[in-house]
Amino acid sequence: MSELPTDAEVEERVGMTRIERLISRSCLVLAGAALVLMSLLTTADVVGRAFGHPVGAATELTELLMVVTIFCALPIVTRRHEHISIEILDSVMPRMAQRLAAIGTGLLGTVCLGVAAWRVWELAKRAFAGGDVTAYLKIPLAPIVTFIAIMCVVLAGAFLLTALRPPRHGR
Amino acid sequence: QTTTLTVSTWVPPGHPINTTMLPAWFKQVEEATQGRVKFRVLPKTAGAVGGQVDAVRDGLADVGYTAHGYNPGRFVLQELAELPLLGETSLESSIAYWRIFQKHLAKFNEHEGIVVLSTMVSEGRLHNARHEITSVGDLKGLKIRVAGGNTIETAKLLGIVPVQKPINEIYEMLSAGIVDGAMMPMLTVQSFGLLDKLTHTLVVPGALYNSSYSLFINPAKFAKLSPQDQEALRKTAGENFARIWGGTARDGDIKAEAEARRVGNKVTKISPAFEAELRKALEPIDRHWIERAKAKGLSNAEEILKEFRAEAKQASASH
Amino acid sequence: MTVTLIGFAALFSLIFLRVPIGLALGFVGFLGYATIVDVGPAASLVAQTIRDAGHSYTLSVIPMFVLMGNLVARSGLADDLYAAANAFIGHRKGGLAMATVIACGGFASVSGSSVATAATMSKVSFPAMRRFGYNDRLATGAIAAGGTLGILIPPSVIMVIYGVMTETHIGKLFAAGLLPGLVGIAGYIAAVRWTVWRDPASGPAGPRMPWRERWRVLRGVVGVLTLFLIVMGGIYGGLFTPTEASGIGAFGATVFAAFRKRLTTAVTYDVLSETARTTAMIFFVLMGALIFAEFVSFAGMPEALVELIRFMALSPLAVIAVMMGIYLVLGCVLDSLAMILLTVPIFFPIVMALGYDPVWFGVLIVVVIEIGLITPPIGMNVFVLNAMLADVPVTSIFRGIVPFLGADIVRLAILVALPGISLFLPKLFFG
Ligand code: NA
Ligand code: NA
Repeated sequence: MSELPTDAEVEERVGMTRIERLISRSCLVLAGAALVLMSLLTTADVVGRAFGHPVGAATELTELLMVVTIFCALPIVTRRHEHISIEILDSVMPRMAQRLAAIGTGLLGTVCLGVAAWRVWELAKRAFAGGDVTAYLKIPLAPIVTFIAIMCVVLAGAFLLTALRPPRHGR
Repeated sequence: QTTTLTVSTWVPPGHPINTTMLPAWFKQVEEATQGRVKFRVLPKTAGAVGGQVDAVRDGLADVGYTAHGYNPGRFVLQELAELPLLGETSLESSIAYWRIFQKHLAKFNEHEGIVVLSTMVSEGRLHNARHEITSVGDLKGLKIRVAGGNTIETAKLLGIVPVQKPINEIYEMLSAGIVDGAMMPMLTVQSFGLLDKLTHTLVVPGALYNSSYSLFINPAKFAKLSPQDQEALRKTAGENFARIWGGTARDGDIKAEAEARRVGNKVTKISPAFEAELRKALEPIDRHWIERAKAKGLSNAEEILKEFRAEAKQASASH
Repeated sequence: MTVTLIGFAALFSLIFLRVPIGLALGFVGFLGYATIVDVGPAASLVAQTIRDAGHSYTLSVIPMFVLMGNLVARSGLADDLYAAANAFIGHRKGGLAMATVIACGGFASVSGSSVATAATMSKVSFPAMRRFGYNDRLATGAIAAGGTLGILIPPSVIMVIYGVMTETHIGKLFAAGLLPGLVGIAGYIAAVRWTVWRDPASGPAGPRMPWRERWRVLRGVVGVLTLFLIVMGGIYGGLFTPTEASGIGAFGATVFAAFRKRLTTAVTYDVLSETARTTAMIFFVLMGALIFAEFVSFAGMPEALVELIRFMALSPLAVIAVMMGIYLVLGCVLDSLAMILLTVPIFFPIVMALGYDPVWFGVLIVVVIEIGLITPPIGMNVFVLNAMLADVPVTSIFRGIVPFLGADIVRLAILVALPGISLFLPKLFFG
């Protein structure tokens, strides 16, 4: 069977430092824990409902867990060069051009996500000022939007690292 | 020269907001400005459904509307118009809300970053697939899909098990018996094709719960209009739009109610004894709002709530 | 309209320079939006999309169905499926490829995504086909095409999204996908037979298995069948909603994997990490697609398309045909999520005005999206295979797909002509 490369092999290939590996593994564990919680919450909600005691907050907690999964995993996906992309021209493009394109992509991502982080932070400030909360548990939304803003900064950083250390060859 | 204002809408294409309420207002604005101000409804909701205030504030659309319930915690004072047992129907409540809004609520600037053109109310009812509801005791243990705002609190006070799931799966949930019923406007029962599922409706004068809305415009876009066009917009919106909205909602409810009866559903008007019981059970909702409104600086919240009910009564006397 | 066309051109240039699709969509969408509206609103659009896109209960079906699929793959259930299909038809010419198609259909019944189905089956069936001397084109073509069934045979992520956007009964949509999925399997089997008839060397016959052995291996499908019945039975039996079914399915698959003693710490970490990363990848594209869709919406492309259809003054069936044509063209270049987000708000009201059934139209859209997954130049299933089987060039996969594409077009025509195939089961289950 043609097995997928292990995490360690991928981390090796994209040249992650020890600290990057530690951050990457922690983020993925957190994202994975959120997934497990999501499926447990749904199951508890469904079973509880059958006995007249649904988990009232299951819907809004699922939404928050979605945010955790997506934004914890996004920087790692970026750093590992795993985003969905099209390598159809790789065979005809010279090595040098490929390298330049990879560096350009990394820089473009850095700028875009940097600007996005700043604007999401503006939205976080609005949520602080407006006092937005979730409907059931009244969990404040501002810290969550702040988390998204911070993860956008991390994501911008991940793009910058891909620009600084573009892959030597295709995936 | 003409200005075209982009409009973001988030209800399905056939909803009365899209087919009647907004077009009626657009027409009046175009006439009042002799065609200098026109509207273009965007093919897709600008931004997210729950993010309409942000979308208009940041210029993703020029004009938009929102249900305050989509942003819990932000519109504490507007929740006044969501309290149970307000005006007779959506019409009276909408008129009263706009008057109270202008007089007492606007200055607190809860709609920061947008210009409010009108405020509106839709009356919500309780529908279920099980049995006729004649007392608070009948509600106990029913699993009801709630509609945001203070419907979760309302449900809990009445012994209802609130189920908070997206409206788009309501048909499945009812078919499967995952929920026994739903809180929604009467006209929504018809427009979602749920008349065969939600066979019992409880009619409470002043509503078991209300949903409050506002119509607004981007401030920079508004400032660019000439003073006379601004005036035309304000005049055709405001109480006028509240009447269009409330009247359309009320008429829609009446039509849906007639259709429900025609297909053999039970639409029950609450008895005086039941109403007294309900009033008592839901009293904490008023009290809770008054506390929070005071904390936000509305020191005479009790009086304003009384004034709202009086305005609604007067509005119903005036036609 | 000019701005839109420039936007599309810029988008494809970036994509071909290997910029991540999500980033390309978002960046071009941002630039286009800034050109038409202003820079400030464009930046806010990006921020609001990032804040709101993932904060969604309904879209939790994506990670949950992906998780379920990954767990099923890791617990060896997919291998069992393939072994069972092989036992019965592996000894025929092209039998391993036909078994692949059937196993894809089986796996699709517990996976909500086509890409996940193709990825899993490439691990399971490609090594066997290579061992028996199958030509790479037939082997990868069968996996890529068979994998597309993932979104047609329930459960289906795309159907949930369509159902949410159009307020169509998701249970009915799931039921509606089943028979067209079987038609799809039959079509793909025909495509395999046609390929080996043209070139017998492309799919040599495998060893024949005695009947006793066949029945023994068949027991391997019990696992997948049970999981499928739990998920679908729960929806139709009224225990949970289609959205909840994804969470229940993930939980059920976890129990299965634990039961089979496959959940070591390392495997658990792998499954969760893979699911989280896949989810992040999908949502990155989704965010980009939403930003791009906002640009296209503001630029007036939807109105232009509606005008075009009205201008041609066609009969209702011809309108559907034109729409399918537009989808096939868009499907060549657009990602499935982007396509559905962009077009459904435009086309759905037209189709409803013509009096067609929303469930039937949903099935048609899913089928054209399936086709888009394997048409060049941008076909996600093909790229997934290319990523997993590094030594098979993209061009051979695309060449191998041609007969399967033919089967797809025939199937689309059948489904348009005979709505009953799609609507029979929903009517049976929901009246
Ligand atoms: Na599926
Ligand atoms: Na394609």
